[in-house]
Amino acid sequence: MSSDGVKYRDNVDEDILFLRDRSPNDPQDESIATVFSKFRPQLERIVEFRMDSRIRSRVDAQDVLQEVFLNAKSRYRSFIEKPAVSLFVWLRQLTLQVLIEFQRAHFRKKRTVQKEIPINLPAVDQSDTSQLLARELVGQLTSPSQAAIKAEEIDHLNAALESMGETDREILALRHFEQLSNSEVAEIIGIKPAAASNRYVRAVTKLGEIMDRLER
Amino acid sequence: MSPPTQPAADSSEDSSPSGAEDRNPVEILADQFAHQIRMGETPSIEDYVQKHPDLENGIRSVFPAIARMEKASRQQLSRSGSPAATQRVDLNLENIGDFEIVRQLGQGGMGIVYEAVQLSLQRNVALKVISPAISNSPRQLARFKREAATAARLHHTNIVPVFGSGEEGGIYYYAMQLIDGIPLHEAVKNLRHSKSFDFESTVSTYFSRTDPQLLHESTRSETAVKPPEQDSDSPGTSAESEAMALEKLPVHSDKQKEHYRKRVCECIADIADALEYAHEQGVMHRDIKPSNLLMDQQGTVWVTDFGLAKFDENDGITKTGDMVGTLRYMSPEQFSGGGDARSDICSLGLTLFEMLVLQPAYSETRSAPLMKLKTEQAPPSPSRIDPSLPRDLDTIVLKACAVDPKHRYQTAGQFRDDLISYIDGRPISARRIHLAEQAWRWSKRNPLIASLASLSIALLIAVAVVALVGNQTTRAALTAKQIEFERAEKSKTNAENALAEAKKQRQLAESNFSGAVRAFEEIMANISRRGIPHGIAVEVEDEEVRSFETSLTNSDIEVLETLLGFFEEFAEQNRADLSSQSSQAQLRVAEILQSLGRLAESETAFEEAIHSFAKLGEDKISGDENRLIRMRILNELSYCANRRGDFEKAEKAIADCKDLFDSIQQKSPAIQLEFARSLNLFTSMYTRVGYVINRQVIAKTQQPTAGKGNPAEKKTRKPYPRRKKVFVAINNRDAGKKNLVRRANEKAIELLLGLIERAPENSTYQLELSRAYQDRVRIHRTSKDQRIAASSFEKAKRILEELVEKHPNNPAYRFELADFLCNLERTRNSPTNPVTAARVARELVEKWPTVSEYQALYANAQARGTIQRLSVSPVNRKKLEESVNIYRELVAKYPAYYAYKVNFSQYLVILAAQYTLSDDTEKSMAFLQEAEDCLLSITEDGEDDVLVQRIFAELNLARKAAGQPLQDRPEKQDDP
Repeated sequence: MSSDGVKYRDNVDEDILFLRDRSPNDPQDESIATVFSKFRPQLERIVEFRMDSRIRSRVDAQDVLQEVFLNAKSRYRSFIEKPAVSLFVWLRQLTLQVLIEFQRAHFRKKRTVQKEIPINLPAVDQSDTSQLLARELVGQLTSPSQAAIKAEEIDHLNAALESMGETDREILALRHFEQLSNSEVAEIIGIKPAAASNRYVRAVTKLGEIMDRLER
Repeated sequence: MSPPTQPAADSSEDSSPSGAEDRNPVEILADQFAHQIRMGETPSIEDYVQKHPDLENGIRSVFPAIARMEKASRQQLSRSGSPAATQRVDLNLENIGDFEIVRQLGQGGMGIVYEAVQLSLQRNVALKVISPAISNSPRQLARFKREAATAARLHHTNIVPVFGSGEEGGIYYYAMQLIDGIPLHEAVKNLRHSKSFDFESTVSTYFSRTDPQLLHESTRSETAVKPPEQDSDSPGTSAESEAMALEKLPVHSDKQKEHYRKRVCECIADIADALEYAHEQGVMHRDIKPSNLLMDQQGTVWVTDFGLAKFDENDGITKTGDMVGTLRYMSPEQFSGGGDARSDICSLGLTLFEMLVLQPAYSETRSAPLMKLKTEQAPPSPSRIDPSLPRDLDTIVLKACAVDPKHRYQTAGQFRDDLISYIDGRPISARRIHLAEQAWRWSKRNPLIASLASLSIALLIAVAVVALVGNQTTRAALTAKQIEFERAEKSKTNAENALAEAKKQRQLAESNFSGAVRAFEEIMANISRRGIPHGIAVEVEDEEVRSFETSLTNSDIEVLETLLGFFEEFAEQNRADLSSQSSQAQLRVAEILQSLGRLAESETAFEEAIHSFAKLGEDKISGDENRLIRMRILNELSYCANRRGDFEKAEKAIADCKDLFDSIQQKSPAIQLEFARSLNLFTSMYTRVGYVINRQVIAKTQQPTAGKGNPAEKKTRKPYPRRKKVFVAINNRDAGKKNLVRRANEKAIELLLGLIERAPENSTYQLELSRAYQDRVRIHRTSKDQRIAASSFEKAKRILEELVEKHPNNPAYRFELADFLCNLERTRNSPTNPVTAARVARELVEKWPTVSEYQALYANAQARGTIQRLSVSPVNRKKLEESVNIYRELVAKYPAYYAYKVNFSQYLVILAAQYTLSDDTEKSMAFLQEAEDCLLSITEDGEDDVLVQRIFAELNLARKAAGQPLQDRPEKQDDP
């Protein structure tokens, strides 16, 4: 893959070159399918992480990805002409958009879904990374009484993450829950890779301190 | 196509030196580290530190958090069952070591199963090759080896033998006997396919198949372990041949059904027997399902994959391709990673269900809804699908696959026995669930109600504990003093007399200490005489007669306060020259304060009394006599502290008491009894509260976060220490303590038995012995062998019943018995008898309305009754409300009493939950507020102990539940 610097300065990555190369003679859109399938596991991860917990039982990540793919197929030709971001970041954006649409549709149409809020989990808004993070960090719930304790911990952790600043928080989520590389994170956040790298270390250190304090 | 760039998640390209120039070096290492974890490795932080000593600080401060996040991330993935986490194995093998691969039989969660020939022994085996996802992780691999070794030790006629496991060129495998048979899920599929109305005969034919063609079929589709799901040619053909077989069997369909069912029961009973055997060896199967059960030509059923089916830490969910196929037979508790032997029973029950009616118990095909359904709903009665199913069989199935493990057969052996009873036409042990119970179980599973209900269960434990603290102290009070009680109407005149007397005596006493003591004793005697029934007055004579605070009337209090002033002054003034009397006075002060419920002050006074007694010379009082008095005082002190919730202090006093006892040469019965009491206090404290409450430990674990002083901080709760840690700490600390407690209990019993031998009629000894036995039940209740607990339970009960019988008018014994019924479970899961307890308590309260212990017992029994039945009903609400009202008064009257406050707030939380569930959020919130205020008043001047924290946690949960009623309640939704 291209080095960080190149990627940051020039959004035309190999994937885009590949698509540019193939798209003129690709009536079946096989090239985008190839590229898409390569990123599929990562995109799926993103969907799983960002999906509103209340619709998890109703919406399959695969359906979301299917929709993302259809979107990508109809739009990639115009995207590769003047890419504002790398292909992966673009796909990620599409994915988040589709996910939001899915969730909106669900909450609009099927009000019943919202009734299923488990009382031991805070209702998680998909846009709120700190809550997502907190929930994941606190881990799987087991007993109701533990759940209560964990709900408590989530609150504290939330407060802690809240105090960290949005960018730091987002960096942690991107690095560990979406499993993106430093350069990808840098691109998404819009800072230089070196800065992203430093910020990441600072954020983890801080989180580590907070967790230590919580566990004591 | 150009080689697409690698997805970042799977590469550590960023950590290569080329892109590294301007990146933080710690970040680069962190990236590597995270990557390793994602690959299933367990990288060591120390290794990194060694390799990069210059970055040590960075590594140490960053890596643990990374490991934590990666773990969370992985958990999330496994929860969502993303195929991204699934690694398919695709090995093309011809030879693995000694084994020559014949063909692939199937692919399962852990790897691929081959039919193979073991060359050295020239035998056919089934060879399971472990997926690299497992063999790549050293930890998983170690676990696999261990489990394979365990499985290889299982020898049972219905368990497919594991020959052994091995490794060849990085490929891990284990070899099993190759069974020539059909997996039961295939059998069921065939039966369903055949669409024969008399499917039973089809199976029974199949089970007893002798048809050569069928035999041939089966050898063709022979599978050892995990047959390829798509055993493609078999369904059609076997169905056909079975249809043919069916024609040959002109049996009446009812008989066929019956035969078929019995045959199925035999098979399942065999499997249950195999499970029983394996469970005894400590091996769980974890993945019982039709496809793991094979039927061979002889009609023997075999369980395969013992202990190996799912040893992946994610319980295999992520790894299996056929997720629903697995989930369908999984017990609900396994979804959250739990499960024990009873999970296997549930899975076998679900298998039986399907075998009987040829339909899965849950027909949902999507995994997430299936999981939800299974945790919330019991399977339907199989007889609904097949109305001709015998009732007993229906009952057996439903019991085996009950949602709550407690409601299932507790051992596979019980399951087997019931199946055999059914086959033999004998009555079965399982009973049908009553409608009410069904409703209750349902309500327990309903998401919202479930959380609240289990909230109550969690509280139940706490309730039990605290109810006992309260009662323990009562008991101590009751024995130490025998009982004094009073009738309010009668006492009035007496009290007036006493007051006049007291005033008179006080005047006299100004200069005459003994006069005051006489006055004090007279008043006390007067108070007690008022209530003491004739029968036991004699027994009481040689006992110390002292006040029992809770039976005091207002005039008593007035008298006591008058005397208190005198004794205080006297003790102060005569410290030097009248040291003996001064000590006595000091003791009276303490006793009076205790009588008035001013516990903290009373403790200080007791401590001072001990000091002054300790300083008394031999000329004033004999050494042993002195020590006995101090032992008594220490026991009083300990019990005061206990009542206030200061367990550390209580324990210290007991330790001091033991030192005194050890220093006494001539151990008279009175001294022995005092020591036995002390031991009982100690064991009671620990068996009831010690393992849960330990301020010392909490204080230690919490210190760094506890914000001191600032009153504004009080309102915002401090972050709680992670429970696990706290409990671990307590457990570690208490491992030795448990032993100590057990020995203390044995010693107490020994002492008391010795005393009783010399004085068999002494009911004080008897009562104390019964208490010791009750503690013994608590000590041994959790141990494997329940016999000690059971026999101690019976002994304690018999003693109490005899005492009640001998002294029908003595309320102390009745109280003791009622308390016993209310609070002591015979075994871990057996219910108590709060209904009887409540009845007795009510009688006591009616007779002696001012005794707070009786009121507390009544309130506890009422509340316990509602908690044990755990349903939302106006009756329960009323009872709880009654309990809460009683406690509200008690708390107001005795603000120093820890137990009252704890119980009060717990009942408030439970009551609030009841209101939330019946839609009265406002009331619910009000009760929760009251509970919070009460809890805060406990912790006002100290740190929270575990119990208080726990109630806080439950309170928050209840508050959350109450806070979002609109979303939880469909009927409240804005319907157009």
